[in-house]
Amino acid sequence: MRRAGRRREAVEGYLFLAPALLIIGAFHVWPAIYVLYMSLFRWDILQGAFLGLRNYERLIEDPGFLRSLLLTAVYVVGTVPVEMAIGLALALLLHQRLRLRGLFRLLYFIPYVTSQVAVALVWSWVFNPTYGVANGLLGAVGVPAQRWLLEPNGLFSPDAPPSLALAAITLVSVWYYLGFHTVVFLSGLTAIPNELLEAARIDGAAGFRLFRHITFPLLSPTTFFLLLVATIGAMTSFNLIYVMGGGGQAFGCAGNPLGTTQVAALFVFDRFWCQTQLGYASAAAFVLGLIVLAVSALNGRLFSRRVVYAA
Amino acid sequence: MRRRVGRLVLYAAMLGAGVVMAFPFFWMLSTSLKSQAEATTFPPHIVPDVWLVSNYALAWAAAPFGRYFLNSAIMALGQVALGLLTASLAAYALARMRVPGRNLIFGALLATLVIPPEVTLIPNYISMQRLGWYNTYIALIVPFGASVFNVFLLRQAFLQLPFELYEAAVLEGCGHLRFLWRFAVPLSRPTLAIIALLTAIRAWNDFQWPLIVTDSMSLRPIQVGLTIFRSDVSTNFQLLMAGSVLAVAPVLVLFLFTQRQFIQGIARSGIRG
Amino acid sequence: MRRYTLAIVALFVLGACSSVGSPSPTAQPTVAGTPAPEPDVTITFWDGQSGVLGDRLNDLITKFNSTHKIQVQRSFQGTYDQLYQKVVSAIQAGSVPDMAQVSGPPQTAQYWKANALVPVQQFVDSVDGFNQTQLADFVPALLDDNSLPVNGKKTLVSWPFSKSEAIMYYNPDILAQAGVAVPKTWDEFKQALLTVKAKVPGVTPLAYTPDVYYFFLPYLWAQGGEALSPDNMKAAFNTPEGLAALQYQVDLVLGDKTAQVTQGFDWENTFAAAKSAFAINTSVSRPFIEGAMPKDHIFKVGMAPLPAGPKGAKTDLFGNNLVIFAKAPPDHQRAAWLFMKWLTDTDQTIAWSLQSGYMPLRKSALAAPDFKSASDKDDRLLVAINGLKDAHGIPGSPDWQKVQPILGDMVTSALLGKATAKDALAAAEKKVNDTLAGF
Repeated sequence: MRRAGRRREAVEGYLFLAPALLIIGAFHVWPAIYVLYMSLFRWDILQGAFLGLRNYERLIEDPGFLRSLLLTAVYVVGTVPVEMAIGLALALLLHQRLRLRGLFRLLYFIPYVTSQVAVALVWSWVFNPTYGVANGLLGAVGVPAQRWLLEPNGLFSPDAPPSLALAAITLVSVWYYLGFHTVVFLSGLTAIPNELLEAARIDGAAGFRLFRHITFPLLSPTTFFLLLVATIGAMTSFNLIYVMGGGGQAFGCAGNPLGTTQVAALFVFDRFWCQTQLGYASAAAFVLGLIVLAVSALNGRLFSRRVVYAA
Repeated sequence: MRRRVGRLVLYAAMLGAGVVMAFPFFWMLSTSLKSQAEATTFPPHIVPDVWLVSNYALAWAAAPFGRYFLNSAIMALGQVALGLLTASLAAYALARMRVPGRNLIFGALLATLVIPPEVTLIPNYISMQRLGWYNTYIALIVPFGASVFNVFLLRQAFLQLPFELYEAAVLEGCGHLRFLWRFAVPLSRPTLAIIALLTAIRAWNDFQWPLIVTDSMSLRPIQVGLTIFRSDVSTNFQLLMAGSVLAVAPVLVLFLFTQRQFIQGIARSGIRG
Repeated sequence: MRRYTLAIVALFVLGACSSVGSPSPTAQPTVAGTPAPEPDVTITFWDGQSGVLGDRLNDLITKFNSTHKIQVQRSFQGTYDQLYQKVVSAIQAGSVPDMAQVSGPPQTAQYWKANALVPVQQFVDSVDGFNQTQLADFVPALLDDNSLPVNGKKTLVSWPFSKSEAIMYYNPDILAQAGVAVPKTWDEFKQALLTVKAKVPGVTPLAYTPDVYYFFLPYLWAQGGEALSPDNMKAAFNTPEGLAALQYQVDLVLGDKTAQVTQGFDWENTFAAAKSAFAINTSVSRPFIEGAMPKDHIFKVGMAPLPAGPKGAKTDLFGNNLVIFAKAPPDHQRAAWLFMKWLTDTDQTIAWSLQSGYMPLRKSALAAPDFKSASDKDDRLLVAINGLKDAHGIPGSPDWQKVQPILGDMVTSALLGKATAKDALAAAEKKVNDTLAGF
């Protein structure tokens, strides 16, 4: 009797899962398989000769690709921890009984709501070398005007990443995604049962101790998840970087100046759509995907043990 | 006394952060009211000399924006509705039902997050053509009707539901579907609100996919409509900003509306269990 | 039989009469025989013409649709890059439109390599096409821009439509203030910049956004140099001519400091605000420059051909051409050709040119009353046209898309002082050869 019930539940479960799995399968998994297929060929607009793993061999030796991976790593390190830290801080603040809490929430969330094209345009204006606000501010304190998004020289040393251009884009990315992190952390905070917090307060915990021993651990599912999603998002980040770093020129494509903003996703896009090397770009996309998978698995391994559930 | 100073500092800091976050938006507003010459002068004018509200009329007239708004709304609402449905069902199955291979499926779903969307464009485009969905609302909605992200978030929320509640419901003869509909979903409203909001925002701002899978003006959403202000020869900043402000407005309203759900969620978390 | 022939001729004559007439050489049947009547089809046309130009294109299409059996259905696809993405995707899916705009020889070459196009030559040589005299009415440089070698023979693969070229803009007031004449050679140009810098404070002599097409290539060509070898398989720019071309820009920016590097379209705003004396860009930019001028300081934008080098003045061609896709049914293909023919007919090319700023495609257009009266009023209209005899197309190689970023990086690294011109050229040559050889 129990077996039949179990089996019925299993079937019902699969039925529940079916719609999501169908859609994700058809429009995410299938394309990935197709991309893998494309990566085995020389593929301009039309499918060309079968190359086997030649595209992958070329990739490993391609300084452009290797550099794009390095730039991606730099970008991830520059955005994810910063976004999460500030996002958490803002969420904690917004969780308090503050006046105008709604207004603040709105202000912090506005960037995320705006289309990335508009955001990129506004910030390109801010960083405009000829009449941008950034140079205006620098001028007020006596610092010479910078080329910002056109500047390939590095922040720390001329040839080491990140270039000033990439740094500027990193700043904009943090600004943009901050609202998202804040909102998700806020939702995680609301899931912490109030009684637990009350009980801890009665026991005498307050401020930072409360945070460290109660709030933060109970927030860990959210933190873990956000870290995962943010890292994946940053590794595959495209839109903002493209519109800001793609050159803005009439005949350019992706990864100016001097390719110092060409993170992995832009490399893929450039080879795919600008240089019409579909096979090669597919290989790069696949390698990128594997790397992201590896990093995520590592992420999971390292941190899932630290995740604590309330119930 | 110290408390009050602390509070003041707090408010100042938050306001400062707020200004930094929202300043570009106000710049958009400001630029949208300028003439082309003023939009590009240096040093920049924070407040326009002359408020050309006519820019909004011009932007609106440049293309059938009313229709574009409708299309964006249809696309967003469609994705939200379908997304909530698929995510609820799947998350529930993964959280509360005994499904063989549950963890494997969940892991596989997480793995799909690594696929960059720029590359899935061509295969999905081909699928749209083969399925006959090209240039239809279906193409704008269904491919984004399920998201691993949403499933994850909701699964998280369902896992936090107290087990006793479920046991009690089972004793009452409640099946899974009914439990999901009558208990799990209502209790997870804040999470659902967030999923709805994030899905709507993503859909509203999506640009490349709608451009690729639509042909006729009657189907295109706002973001595609705004491309009319950019060309290979010039960018009409003030009209583009005006159009962008118009495009942001509904999402802001949506956000303000769903904020109430957050507040309710906070208030309710004390009653739970 | 005779009645039938008469009917066909009548149809044709009626067709000719329904287009707006000023006596100009409209296309007459070429190959012996009368053309078949217009097919009764609706054709799809993908374009990348945004903003005001898009509206004008709409007007033209509406006019065509109201006077022809063929109906054209236009679908705007964004910028040229976005249009290209869309077409590439469509070719993959086997769902191409009947015709589309294409932004120049490299993209055309890509489509051609993918066997996606039916060569326009086929229609030009047909009953619906042109005889030698009529074909000669089209500016030769434009036809060259649309031709590719097919089986060793120069063949028209695409058809010109919206064409512009690189020209020099100047602010006559500032030039007068500096006592400088409009430079005719690159050397004179350099001098003019220096003079402006010395005589007119507060003004940048030249503001421009670094690009391969506005300085490097024209200068290179003006000395007789080429970017690629004739077979498009090897780099040909690492020569004294190439060095001179690159060094010229470097001198302006880093040496004389007479040129300011800008971002995106900022050169346009700087020029419109009368903060710079010169600009080098496409001939279609004028309306945009004028639109960016502050109301209290309007000046007449000066236009002149690009300066000349030892081998004369050279300029590159921009804009878009039209292609017909091979997958379209034959009657659609023919209909597309008939539409294209009408679009580039004398009346239409004059109208399109006057409204958009693109160049008229036919020599006879220059003599036509509409155009003549416009150009008599404003001789700037003739600048780009006169420059057409010096026009040089961008290499029609499908691999140009891979070469262009390398050249762009070369220019950027030299201009920013990250490499000497010599080293930059050598590095770029190696990269280009590696890239071209790898395929």
